[in-house]
Parts: sequence; structure tokens; C-alpha cells
Amino acid sequence: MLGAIALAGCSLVPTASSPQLIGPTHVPFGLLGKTIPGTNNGRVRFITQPVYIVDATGHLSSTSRIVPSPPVLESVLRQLIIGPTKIESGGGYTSALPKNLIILSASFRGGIGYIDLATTLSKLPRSQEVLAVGQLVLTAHVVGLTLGIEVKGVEINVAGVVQNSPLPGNHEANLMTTQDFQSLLNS
Amino acid sequence: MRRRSLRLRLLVTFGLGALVISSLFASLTYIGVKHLLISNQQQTDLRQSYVNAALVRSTLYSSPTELSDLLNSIQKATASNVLVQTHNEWLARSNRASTVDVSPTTIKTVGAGHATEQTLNARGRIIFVVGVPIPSVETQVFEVFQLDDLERTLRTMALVLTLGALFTSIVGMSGGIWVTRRTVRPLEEVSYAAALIAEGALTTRLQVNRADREVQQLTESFNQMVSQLVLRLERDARFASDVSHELRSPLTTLATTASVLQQHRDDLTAAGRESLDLLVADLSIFQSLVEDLLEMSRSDAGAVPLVMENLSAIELVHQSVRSAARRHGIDEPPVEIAEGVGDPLVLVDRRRFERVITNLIDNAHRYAEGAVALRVDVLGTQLAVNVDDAGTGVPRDEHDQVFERFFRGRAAHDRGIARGTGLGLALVRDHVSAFGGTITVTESPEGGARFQILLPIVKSGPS
Repeated sequence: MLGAIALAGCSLVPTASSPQLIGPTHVPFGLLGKTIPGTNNGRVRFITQPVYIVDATGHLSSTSRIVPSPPVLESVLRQLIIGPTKIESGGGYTSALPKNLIILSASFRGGIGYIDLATTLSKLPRSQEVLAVGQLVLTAHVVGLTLGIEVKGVEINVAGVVQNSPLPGNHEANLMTTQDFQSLLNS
Repeated sequence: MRRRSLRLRLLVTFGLGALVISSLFASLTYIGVKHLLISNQQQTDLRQSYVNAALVRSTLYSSPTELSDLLNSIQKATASNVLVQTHNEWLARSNRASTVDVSPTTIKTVGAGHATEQTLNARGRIIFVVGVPIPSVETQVFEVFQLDDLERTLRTMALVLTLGALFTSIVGMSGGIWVTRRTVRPLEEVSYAAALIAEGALTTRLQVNRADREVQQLTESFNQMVSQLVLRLERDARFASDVSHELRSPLTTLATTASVLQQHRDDLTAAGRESLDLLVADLSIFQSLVEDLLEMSRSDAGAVPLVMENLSAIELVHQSVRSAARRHGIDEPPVEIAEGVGDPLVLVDRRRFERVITNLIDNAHRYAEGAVALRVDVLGTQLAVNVDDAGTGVPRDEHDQVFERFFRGRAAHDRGIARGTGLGLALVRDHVSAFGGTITVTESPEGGARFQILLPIVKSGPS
């Protein structure tokens, strides 16, 4: 009989038609606890937040980052400075934002996204500067969408001073929308 | 009910016994090891799932962007796929993970805050899925383990155990054959020797096997028994021979005296004549009995050697018939030779063969209205001499008994004959056996008894 079983195609490991419950006492590390051990009643919800990085062809491409919910614009934009993940790097993705860029603050007020940087982006080559501004504007726009804000535009300041940022096609603007960067989006 | 052979029974018992024991052992081993392997594997996988879930929680809390990297690291390290879900949306998963592996029921149950485990067949692969809810980060972690290795191990084990059980059965059966041979062979030898002795080969002995004490004891006892039996037979035969021999002289004197009295029969009264007739008749029976007994006992004791000659069967039959007719004062029964018999030679003792024919004709004359004919035929390599009588035949249940010593059949009683010796047919059988032939009684075409002698033909003569 054993031989027949062994030679037959049927499974020898018994399977179950439905999942078996594991008693809460058997689950270690406080995994089933309502809060994270070692925190002050910390409880966090995470979401997948879309962000924009630069693909291998030099276009802006959407990817995502796991961030606590609700997303904080400043935190999400910092993910752009950190750059692509290992897998993204392997696929040729980069970030146009310099690693040493410091974001002083980022927030939405009256449907406008305000991004205050510590240093100007104008020292970058123009093409990279356009992509860097595009990353900030498009990412701020989708963060606004996640938060349920209808973003009318994004303004970039340097140390509190409004900047004219370069746009594709030798244009400049101080209040930018997603429409301004449509030509840079990876179709 | 037909009894099965001891050899077969021993063989089947050993074979089946070995099969049952080895199958039982293999099954118990399989069940035990299978349970242990599956249990160990699942416990290991569960522990790993808890550790990985804790890592996911920690990573989410400290650096959520590294979650994907963490899941891929886990996949590389443990070959298990991890999927993380939050609020019914897949937050992250390792590269090779497939959401199809996690059933909606598992997702729903884990989403409701219960840790689960399930072994299932997913697209032909056996997988073990552990689901752990992490309420503190509002996520559910699912880890999918491949159990292909375990499945392969179990399959190999089942196959090896089956082959082992079969091998053990074959070994058991071989052992059974060996034991059976050692056990049954001495019995067969005893049986064969006993059969030979029963056929008259009284010199038959068993070879003493000194390898086995019990068998040695059996063969020695058997040989001793046969020796004692032969001694006893020889003693009895000698005694019968001596008694018969000693009786012959007074019997001859009595017969001579009776003969003298017969000559003066007319001088006797009617009662005296009747007494004399009875005396003469009984003396005749007594003489026949003593002669038969003497011949039989001498034959048993080997006192009278066989004088075997190649003789013409046809001539011998004719001569024997004439001799018998002359001896009993009766008409010669016809001798019918079948077509194509020719003139075959048979190896017999002439005097004893004549005695055989004489006794059969005498038997027919005494109990069955005489012999109808003696019919000679060839059956294959044997010469058949059929003595057919005019009686009503021998009852079927007496066919074997009629050749026993001192057996008197129903025919003798029915006909009111009580003067036969009961040794005539026994003597016939002994002599025919000494020639290497056989004698049987069947029915003749005329409805009477047919005594058929079969003798090996030494040489077929021309037709």
C-alpha cells in the first residue's frame, strides 16, 4: 500500500481544506498585541504612498514607498532624497535630488503645497534641476491626493524665499502643477 | 475435505507471516516518522514565521521603506515567501511571492485577528501557509513555505519501506523454504520408505541424518521399527512354514488312510460312508490350505528363490490352463489371443505363474460357475491376461479386499461355500507382484468378474 502511495501522484503530506486557528497564547513576541512593545501605546497604520523617481531613460516614473498613515509630505519627500531602493537601482532608477538636500519644511496650505528647502537646486545642471523639481511637484501632488486635498499647485522656497523653478522647454514658474511636467512622465 | 500439503502451509505461513510483520513494521515506521517529520517541519516553519513577523513589525516601525528589502532577504535566507497586507491591500511581498497562495479564507481569518496555519495543495505544490496578524501596525503577515522537500522525503521513505517489506517477505519465504525443506524432507523420506516397505521391499532403510537430533532420532527409530518388523515377519513366516511342513506328514498319513478306507467304502454302513466322505472332503481342503500356507510362508521367508525366465507368454498361458484343468479335473477354458498380440516374452517364474493361473481358474470354478475364457491382449508395454468367469462379478467394495489373506467374499457365503482356504487370491497377488506385475479385479464383458494380470513385456514377438 505504501509503495502504491509512493508511486501514485497523490500527496503524502496531509492537507487541510480550511486554515487552522493558532491559539493566541502560542503566538510569541507580543505580535497580537494592540501596541508595539517598548512604545508608549504606539499603533501605526501604513500605506503604500506613490512617489516619483527618475527612470533609466531620464523620465519621471511612479513608484511607491511604505509610509505611516496618514502620510506626512515632508517625510515622503525625504524618501525622494534617500533615493531608489536596491531593486529600483538595479533597474536603472535614480533620484535627481541631491543626497545632501535638506528639506526645512513641507506642507499644504489652502490647496497649495509649500516646500521649503535649505539650499537652492539651481546649482544642479538644468536638466537634472528640472527632473528634481518634477519629482517634488508630482510627489507632493499625489501625497495631497492621498490626504484628500485638491492640490492647485506647488511652490518651492529656499530658506523662506519663493523660487522660480525651471520647467521643461526653458520655462520657469514659481507655482507649478502636474501639467507642467506631463512631457517628462514616462508613458 | 482435501488436506493441503504441509510444505505449502509452512511456506505460506512463513511468507505471509514475514509479509504481515514487515508490512506492520513498515507501516508503523512510516506513520511515526511521517508524523514526526511533518510536525517538526511545521513547528520550525511556525517559529520562523513568528520571528519574521516580528522583523516585519520592527522594520515597519523603524524604516518602512526597507520592508521590501527585508522580505527579499527572508526569501533568500529561508526560501519562504512573505506577503504583507494592510486593510485588504498588499503592502509588500517578496519577489517570488504569489498572492494566489494565500486563500481568501486565510486572509479573512487573519484579518479578523486570528493567527492561522494551513497545509494545502496549491497548483500541484504542497505549501504550508502561516498567517499572523500584527494589530500594532495594522498589517497581516503571510509566510508561504514550500513542502516539496518534505513530500519527496516521505515518498522516498514510503518507497524504501515498501521495498524493505517486500525484501523481508522474500527473505521470510526463503527461510520458509529452507525450514520446510529441512522439516518435511525427513517426513517424505519416511513416507517413501514406508511405501517401499509396504510394497515388499523389506530391506529399505532410512539414511541416518546426524545433523539434526530430532531427525536422527526419527530415522533411527524408524529403522529399528522396520528391523523389528522384518524379524517378526520372518519369525512368523518361519513358524507358519514349520507348522505347515510339520502338518504335511500326518496329513499325508491321514490322506493315505482315508484312501485305504475309500477302497473299503462298501464295507461301511451308510453313516460310516457319509462320515468318510466328509473326512475326505475336509482332508482335501486341509491339504490345500497347508500347501498354500506352506508356499506363502516360504515365499515370505524367502525360502524358495524365484526362478525367473524369459518365457513365451502365449505358450505359458496355454500350458498353465492345461495344468489347471488337469489338476482340478475340469474342462480347459478357451484361451483367446487378441489380434496382433504376436508372441511376446515375459520374465516370470514358470511354476509360480502356473500356480497363478491355476488359482484363478480354481477360484472361477469354485465361486463363479467356472471360467468363461482366458483372454490375452497387449496394453502398451504390458501383457494383459484376463481370466473372465461366468459369475455375477465381485462387488465393487470387495475389489481390493479379495486379494487379502483369508478374506472370504459375499459370493462364498451366498453360494454356501465354506471350504475355500482364503489364500488362493492372496498367493496370486504375491506371485504377480514378484514378477513386477499387478492384478486387479473388474467386470468382464459377460457380466462376471474379470481378474486382469498385467505383466511387463520383455520382448515383443512377431505377430
